[in-house]
This record gives sequence, C-alpha cells and structure tokens, in this order.
Amino acid sequence: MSRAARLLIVAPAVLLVACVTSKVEQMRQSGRGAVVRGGESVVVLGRRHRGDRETEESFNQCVSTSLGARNLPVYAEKSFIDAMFPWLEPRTAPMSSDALATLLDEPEIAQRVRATGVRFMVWIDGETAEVDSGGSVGCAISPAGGGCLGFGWWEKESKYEVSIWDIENRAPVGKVSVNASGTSYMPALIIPIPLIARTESAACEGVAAQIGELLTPGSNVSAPAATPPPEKIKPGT
Amino acid sequence: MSTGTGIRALARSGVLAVSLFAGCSTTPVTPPTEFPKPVLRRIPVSMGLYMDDAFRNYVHHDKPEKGAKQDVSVGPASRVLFDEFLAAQFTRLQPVTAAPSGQMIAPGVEAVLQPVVQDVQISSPRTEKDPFHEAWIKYRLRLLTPWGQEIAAWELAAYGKHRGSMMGGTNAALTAAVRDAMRDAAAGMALIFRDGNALRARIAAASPQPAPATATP
Repeated sequence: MSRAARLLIVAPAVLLVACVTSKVEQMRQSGRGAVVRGGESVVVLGRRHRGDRETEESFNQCVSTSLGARNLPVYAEKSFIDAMFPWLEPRTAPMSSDALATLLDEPEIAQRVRATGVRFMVWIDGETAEVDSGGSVGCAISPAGGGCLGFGWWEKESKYEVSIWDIENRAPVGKVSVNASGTSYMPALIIPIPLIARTESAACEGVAAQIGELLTPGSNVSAPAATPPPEKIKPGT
Repeated sequence: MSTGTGIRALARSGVLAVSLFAGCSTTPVTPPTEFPKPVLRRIPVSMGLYMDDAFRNYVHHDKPEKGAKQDVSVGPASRVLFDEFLAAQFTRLQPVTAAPSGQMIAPGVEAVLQPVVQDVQISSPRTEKDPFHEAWIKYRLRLLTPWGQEIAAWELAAYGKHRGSMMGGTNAALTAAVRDAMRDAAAGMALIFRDGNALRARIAAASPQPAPATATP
C-alpha cells in the first residue's frame, strides 16, 4: 500500500475520533459557589444503591483527577467510605442533604468526618451505556495470511447527575447534569480500524469543569491534600 | 463477530481459549477477613456473642445448571465481621462458646446475639449486557436471654455487586461482591442497633430466668 493510500485511510480516522455530542447543565443553590479553604477537601462518591446499574469507578477516578488538576484537594473515595463505615454503604448512604444532616447529628459520625478534613461531598449517579449497534465485521486466517472485512458501529450514551453538598453548612451547593453521546465505527479492510467516540471522557471533563465553577480553591489552597489510609482492624484470631 | 462490541468479544474469545487450556478450574471464593473500624455509638449493654461451628465454617457450594461449580467461603470472614462490628457496638462483648440453654452462660452478660447463615446465592454475568457479579447472603440475627430464650430475631438480607467480565481466570469480582454483601450486612446491623434505648428496653422486658423445675419423688 502506498504512503498516500495509507494517509487516505488514517486521516479520516483521526478526524472522526472526537465525534461526541455533549450537553452539560449546572444549577446553583445560591447565587455564588463555595470556596474550599486550606485544610478542607472534596470527596467524589459514586452512587451504588441501584440494583441494575452503578457509576463506574473509572468515571469517579476521572472526575477526581480532573478536580485535582484544577487545584482542588481531593480525598480518595475508598478511604472516605472506609473511614465512615458503615454509613456510606448503599443501604445507609444519605440520599439527600437533609438525610446527611440527620446523619451528622450523630456526634461520632460528625467527629469522624471532621477528622478526614472533607467538607464537600460530590455524589455522582449515572453510567455509560451502549444504546445501539449494527453492522458486522468478519475475520479469517489461512496459511497464506489473514484479514478482516466489514463495517461495524455502536452508539454510546454517558448520562450522569452530580449533587454537591456542603458538609459544614449541611446544605446543597449545586447540581450538574451531563449527557454525552457519540457513535464509534470500526471499518475493516484487512486490518480493523476502531474509531472510538469517547463519551465517558467528554462527560467527565464537562462535569469536572462545572464542579470547578461551583467549588473554587481558596488562596491558601495550593496542593491536593494527602489522603491517609483509614484505621483498619487486624484480622481476628 | 458482529458490531462494535467485536473488540470485547475477540478479547473474551482469547480468555475463553486460555481457560479451556487451563481445564476450567475454579478456585474457591475467599473474601478478605479485614473490615474497616466502624463508626458507632456504643450501647451500654454487656452482650454475649455465640457463633456455632456451622456459622464459623460456612461454605456455600454453588452448583449452577450451566457453568462450573463454585465454592464460597462465607464463615471465616462473617465471623470476623460480626465479632468486630458488635465489639464496636456494645460497651462489652463477651464470646460465648456454648449454646445458651437453661444455665447462665457467663456472669454479667445481659443478652446473647447469635448470627446464623440461612442462605447464600451468587450470580456471574452471562451476557455482555450484564456487567455485574452479585452475591446475596441471608443472615438471621437472634437476640437471646442468657438462658437461651429468644427475645427477638432480625432477617438480614445482604447484597453486594461488583463489575467484572463475563468470564476470566480469576474470581476477584465475585470475591468483591461477597465482601460487599458482608459490608451491607454491617450496614443493616447499624440500622437495627441505631436505637440503643429500644434494644435495652427489649432486653429489660424479656422474661427473667425460669425457675428451676422441682423434682418430684
């Protein structure tokens, strides 16, 4: 295959990779956002109470990393859930800021939250799902060689709703919703060339950007906070 | 091979081929016996904890209609969970080695808790649309007087799920689902014992030690 022919195949592929439509909405509870002061941190938590779906750990991790890149101190999700055990399990996790206030009425729980330094809880509910697909790709191998022929496509949708709560004031800060969809293609002419629509990544960036507007690091916040491992009990004998 | 999920299907075919060569052996699911320290308000009760051998060594033998058999070791991790959770829940927790019966089991013990595993079910993904490994553990938590009379009993239907592939060489996702079910059981217990005063009232209201039977000549 000549260099020009290869370029003809690869160039459209590069152009089609970023084919994602994304819609992000933000709702503030008050006129302005909140400031994360020195010593305070944010925790990103995935909702796990539904039987048929669950927010992907990779999405939570992506949002946490993006918030860290915006200079917001982020407390590790697993460490926080373990530190609050068993009050953030699917059965017991508060579903509203009012329920959070009731939980924080327990002095032991409030004390444990204060010890972590977490002030803002970011709850993410949603997932990325394949909504449609079609086409077919066939591959064959013979002693003379092998190859694939065909065309396949699949459409993915990333829908997430995010609630941000202020633990100190026991009140909601705001909400963010994102809906990103895109179609991936896989043309195969001897070699399959997947052209992936990264809907989850687009949704993550959209969510992190909006949270970054609602929560801004204070002037004395310079680096992400360390997240110490929670106290563990040694295995019983 | 069809559609956009072709890449995943291709990868799974590879995993299937590897597992066929490996003889489709399944290793037992053994959840870790380490749990976080629970955040609880202690109830001022001197509680006994009785866990019989059936509970301590409970193993679930899963025999699906299709697919490989799978053993799930539930007892050892459950023993640690109930022991550590209840030790954090009550001001004093005393292990009881014999089943509470007509005789006082230990001085100072106001009541005894006995957990029982009633049923275990597991499920692994069967289609590409089904991303979760799931586990259900049905516990029964009995509250007894020190003399063995049942004061109350709670059904704890614990559930855990974890993302994982349809097939693979390890059972890490299923192990995580079983561990999550046990954590869910702890969450259930936290809700049961949230009202410590109600529990103390139930214990106080339980009937006193039965009078010893008088022998007739």
